[in-house]
Amino acid sequence: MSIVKRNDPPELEYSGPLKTELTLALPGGGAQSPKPRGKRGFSDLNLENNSEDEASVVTQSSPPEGEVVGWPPMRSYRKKKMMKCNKFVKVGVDGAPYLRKVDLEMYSDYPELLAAFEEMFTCLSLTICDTLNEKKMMASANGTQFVPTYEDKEGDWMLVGDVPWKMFVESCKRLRLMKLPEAMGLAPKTTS
Amino acid sequence: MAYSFPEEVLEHVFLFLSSDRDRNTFSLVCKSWYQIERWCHRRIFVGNCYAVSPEIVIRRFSELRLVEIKGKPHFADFNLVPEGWGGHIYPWIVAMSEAYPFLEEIKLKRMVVTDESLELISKSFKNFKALVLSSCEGFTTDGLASIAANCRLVIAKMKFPFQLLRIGRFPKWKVFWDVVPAYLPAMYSVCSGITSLNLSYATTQNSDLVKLVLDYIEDIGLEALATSCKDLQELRVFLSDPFGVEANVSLTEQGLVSISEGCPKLHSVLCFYRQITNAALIAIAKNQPNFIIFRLCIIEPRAPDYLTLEPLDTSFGAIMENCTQLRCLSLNGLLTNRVFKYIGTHAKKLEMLSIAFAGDSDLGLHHVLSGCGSLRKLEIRDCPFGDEALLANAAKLETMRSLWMSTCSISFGACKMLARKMQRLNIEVIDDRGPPESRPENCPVERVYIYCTVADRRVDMPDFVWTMDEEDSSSLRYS
Repeated sequence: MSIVKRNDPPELEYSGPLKTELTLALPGGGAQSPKPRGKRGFSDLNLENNSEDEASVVTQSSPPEGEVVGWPPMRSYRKKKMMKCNKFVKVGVDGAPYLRKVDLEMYSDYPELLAAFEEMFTCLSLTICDTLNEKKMMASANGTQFVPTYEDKEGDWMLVGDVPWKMFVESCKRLRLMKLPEAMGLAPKTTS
Repeated sequence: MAYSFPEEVLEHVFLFLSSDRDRNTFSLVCKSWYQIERWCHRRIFVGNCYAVSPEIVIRRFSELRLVEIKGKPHFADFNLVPEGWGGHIYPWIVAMSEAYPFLEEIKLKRMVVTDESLELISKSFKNFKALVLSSCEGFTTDGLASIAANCRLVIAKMKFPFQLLRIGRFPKWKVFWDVVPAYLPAMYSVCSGITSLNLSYATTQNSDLVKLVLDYIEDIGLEALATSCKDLQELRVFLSDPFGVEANVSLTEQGLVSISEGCPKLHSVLCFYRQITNAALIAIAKNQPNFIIFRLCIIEPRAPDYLTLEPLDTSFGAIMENCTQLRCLSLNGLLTNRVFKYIGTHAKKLEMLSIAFAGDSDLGLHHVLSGCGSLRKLEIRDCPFGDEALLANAAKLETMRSLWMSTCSISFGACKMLARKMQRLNIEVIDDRGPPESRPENCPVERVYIYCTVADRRVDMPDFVWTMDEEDSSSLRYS
C-alpha cells in the first residue's frame, strides 16, 4: 500500500567466515536481513506490496505476521500473554473435594508448577518435599505423600518431571496428584 | 571572588539543590564550589553504565548515599540487543563496597545482576535501605535471600512479572509490583510474607486514578474513562490480540480521541493500535497540547492512514506543533522524510525519540540530528538511514547520551570514520556475522550503538561486539 518513492537500494553481497545470506536490499527498507542470535530475523522485504518488487529474494520464506524481531515493541511477557497462549488443564488431588485448573503457560519449569499446587490445595496443606532420589513429591500435613502425575496425549499416566518442561506442557492433558500410602511401598523413601 | 561565604554556608545552600543539572552548573562556577559540591553530593544517576567508570565516580564523589545506574539500551526490552551484550553491575558493586560503606539505596535498570552481586551488596552496606531492580536479570531467589538475611529493612521494587522469579518468604520486605491484573490472584497466594503491596494499576471506578494500565479495553471503556477520570495523567493501552487477523475488539482510535477530549491532565500516553487515521491524531494533538510522552505503536509496520491511505506525516506533524512540551516520542506507521522535517523544526524539547520502519533517506535522520536541540536518546530500527547523515552530524552525537541504530544502512567504514573524528564517543558494532573486517567496508552493520563516554574502552565485551578504535582505524576487542 505504500505510495512513497524510495531510493534505489544497492545490491549487497558479502561473504565471511560465518554463514551468510544473499539478499537484495529493499527499497527504503533495511539493507539486509540480520540474524539476531537465536531468533528469526526478518528483513523488510515481505512488508512491501507483493506486486512491487518481483526480484526481491529472501533466503527464507516469509514468516507469518508477528515474527518481526522485537515488534510490536512490548515486553515478551506481555506479547506472550496477548498471543493467548493458554493451556488450562485440570488438576486433581486424591482426597480433595474438587478439582482445580492451571494454565501451564503461566509457569516456566516444574518447581514453579509444584509451588502453584502448594498454594492451590491449601485445604490439604500440601508442601513440596525432597526425596532421596530427587523425584518431585508432595506431602500433606498428616504425612500422606502425593506423587504428581499427568495424562499425556496417548492417554497414559506418566510421572511428572521426566521430560523437558516444554515437551511436558505440550503433551499434558490433565494432572493428578496421586496418593501413595506407605503400605504400597511404591513411594521412594523420604528422609525424615 | 575576593571574599565569599564560608564553606559551611555554601554547603548548606547546596543541600537544597536537588536537580543534577543545577548541581552540575554550580560545580562549574569555580574550583572551591566544585569541591564543596562534590563533598555534599549524595545521589548520583548514571544513565549509561559505560559512560563512566566506577573509579571516576568514586574519585569525584566520596559521600554517596544513593546510586542509580542504567545498563542496556532501551531496545533491549524488545529483544533487539543480543543476550550477553553487557551491563554488568558486579564491578560497580565491588568498587562501591569499599568506597561507600554508608550507601543506602541502589537503583538499577536493565542491568545484569548476579546472585554474587546481591550477596556483596548485602554484606557491604550496613545502612542499606532500598534496592530497586527494573528489568534486570541474572539473579535468583538465592541472591534476594541473602539481601533479606543481611539487611534489616529493604524495599524491593521489581518491575517484571513475578513468575519469572520465584518469591519465597521475605517477612520484613515491602514489595512494590508493577504487574498486570491477570497475575494478581496467583501472586497473592505466593507472596504470603509480604507486609504491604503497592500496585500501580487500578480499576476504572477510581476517580483519583492517575495512572492506568489497560490490557483489554474497547472504545466504550475508554469513553467511560474519559467521563469519570478527570485526573488521569498517564495512560497505557495494550492491544489484546496484536497478531489476530480479525479485529473483533472494537478498539479504535476514537477511544483515544475521547480520552484526549475528556482528560485535561493527560500528559503521558502509550498505546498500541492496529490502525489509525490522520484525522484522529490531529484531533488528539489539538485536544492535548500538554503531552510530555506520546508513544503510539501501530502494529502493522508502515501502515498508512487506513481511510485515506496517506502517510501519517501530517498528523505527527500536528502533534509536534501543538505539543510544545513533548519530551518523549515514538514514531511508526507510514512516514516519509516530511515527518522528520516537522520534528526537526518543532520538537525543541524532545529528549527521547524512537523510530521504527520510517523515512525515505538520510535526509530524515539529518533533520532530526540537526534540528532537535534537546535530543538525548535516539533509537532507530529498520529505517533507510545511512552514513551521510550520521557523519554530517557527528558533533551532535557528543551532546547526546546514546544513539542506537539497527537494520539501517550504516556501513562499517562510516563507523570507523566516526570513531576517528569523535574521540569522546564509543562506537560499538554489534554483529552476529563475525568480525566487521571480514566484510567490505561499505557493508552495513547489523547494529551500531554509539554513546558518550569518559571511561576507557569496555573490557567485558562478548564476541559479537566490536569497539571502533580511533587510533589505528581497526576494530578492537579486549577479551
